[in-house]
Amino acid sequence: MSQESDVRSTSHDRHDRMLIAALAAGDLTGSERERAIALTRSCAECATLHDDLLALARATAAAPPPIAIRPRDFTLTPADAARLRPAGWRRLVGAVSSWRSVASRPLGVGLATLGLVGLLVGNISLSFGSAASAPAVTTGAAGAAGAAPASSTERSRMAGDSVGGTYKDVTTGGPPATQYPAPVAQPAASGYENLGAAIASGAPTGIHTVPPPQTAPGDNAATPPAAAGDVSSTRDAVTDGLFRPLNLLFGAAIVLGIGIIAVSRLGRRPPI
Amino acid sequence: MLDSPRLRIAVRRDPLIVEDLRSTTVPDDPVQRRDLILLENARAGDLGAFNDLVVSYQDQLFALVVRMVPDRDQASDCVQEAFFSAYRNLAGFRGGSVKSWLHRIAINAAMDIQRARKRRPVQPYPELDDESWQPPAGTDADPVTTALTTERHRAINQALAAITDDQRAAIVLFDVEGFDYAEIAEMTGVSLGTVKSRIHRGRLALRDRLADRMDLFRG
Repeated sequence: MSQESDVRSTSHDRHDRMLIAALAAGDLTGSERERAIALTRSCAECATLHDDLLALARATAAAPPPIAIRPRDFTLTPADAARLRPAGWRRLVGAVSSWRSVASRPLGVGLATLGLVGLLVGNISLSFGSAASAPAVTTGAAGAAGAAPASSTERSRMAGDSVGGTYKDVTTGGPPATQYPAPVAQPAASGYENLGAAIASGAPTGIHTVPPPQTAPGDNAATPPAAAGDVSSTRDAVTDGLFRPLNLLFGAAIVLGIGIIAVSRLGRRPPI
Repeated sequence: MLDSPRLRIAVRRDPLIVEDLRSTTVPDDPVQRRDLILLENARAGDLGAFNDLVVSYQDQLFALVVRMVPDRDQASDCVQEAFFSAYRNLAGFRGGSVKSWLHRIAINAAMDIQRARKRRPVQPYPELDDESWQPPAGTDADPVTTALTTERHRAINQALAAITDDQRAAIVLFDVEGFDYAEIAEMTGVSLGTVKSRIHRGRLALRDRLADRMDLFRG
């Protein structure tokens, strides 16, 4: 073990050259400095490296530039100044991003956040509203499909379909649908749902005498044209909601905020 | 009540500070004070004041840039573009040292030129092969010493041109221009540790490239 450490300490290739470079630059303190000094004392190559680095630093400082003579004068002419003077959007950028307008960045962030939150809150509430109205629309559409058959037999069959076997019991005059309970949640629920529920509960059905779902005046969900109109009108409401003035205002706030942030960042970028 | 001496003393003790902080950053340095006055005048539209700044710093900036971009024309364009940019961004000066500000702009311009040169590689540093210019020698200079000095300078410049751009910029700013670590970090937009690391690695790289010519520098 001690032999290994001896070998390691005398092998220059394994020594930390960066440590020697840091020592030559005067950047080391404490134990690292002591370690580096120990290296330069115990290893001749490390000592040479240290001296070489110091010599190179001196030579670099003393070296003249490779091209010592400035080829031309760099003063600006009035034409240059006129060309370079900020105008238009550059002047705006300068005004927004100058050190004086320290509020430009917070203002931009605030505007963008306000706009984003406003849009989110507005549209979440809007989508809640449309989600609440969506089942009514579906029911209305399905009810309209159920109302389409003309004959009472067909209507009865549909009633049987929709209530899960209740139709057979009804037509055979058997007991009401205790054997074939109606599913609670039946897809394509029609206007006969209430009837199926009535049959399932053993209530007198009188199904042949039950008229098809009546279209109450003003009941949009019950008639096909009105239902389609409701869907489109709901969709229109959503679309209108997106473009309503408040949303436009929030959108404008986001755009304005992002614009101010971008301009202030652009102005703070180091020149060139 | 308002004329009472107590109030006047109180007012005198706590004056309202309305002075521009930028002009009080380095008030004791006459060069810096002069630079700030020139800069304020240039901001107010005085082109002559800006050109005074140009005259004061064009040699320094050219010497800096030409070490990083050792091509006469490119370095010249770079310095010109740096002054153009400084004029365009007079409003963006946020206090501190005008010299550092101008150096930073010039370094950024030089970095841009170097990046562009990497994208379109041409003959690397033809100016370094130009032996027409020699450093001025003293009247009593020994010819051997002069030749040795010339050779040493050429060797170090060639080695500097061979290391990476970042390392070269850090070494030039530290060893030649005399900026400290913090100033270099601020100029180049990197951390203090990165600046140190670049200088250390750059010096090691210089030594590796000059390994067979280190006798020029020893003793």
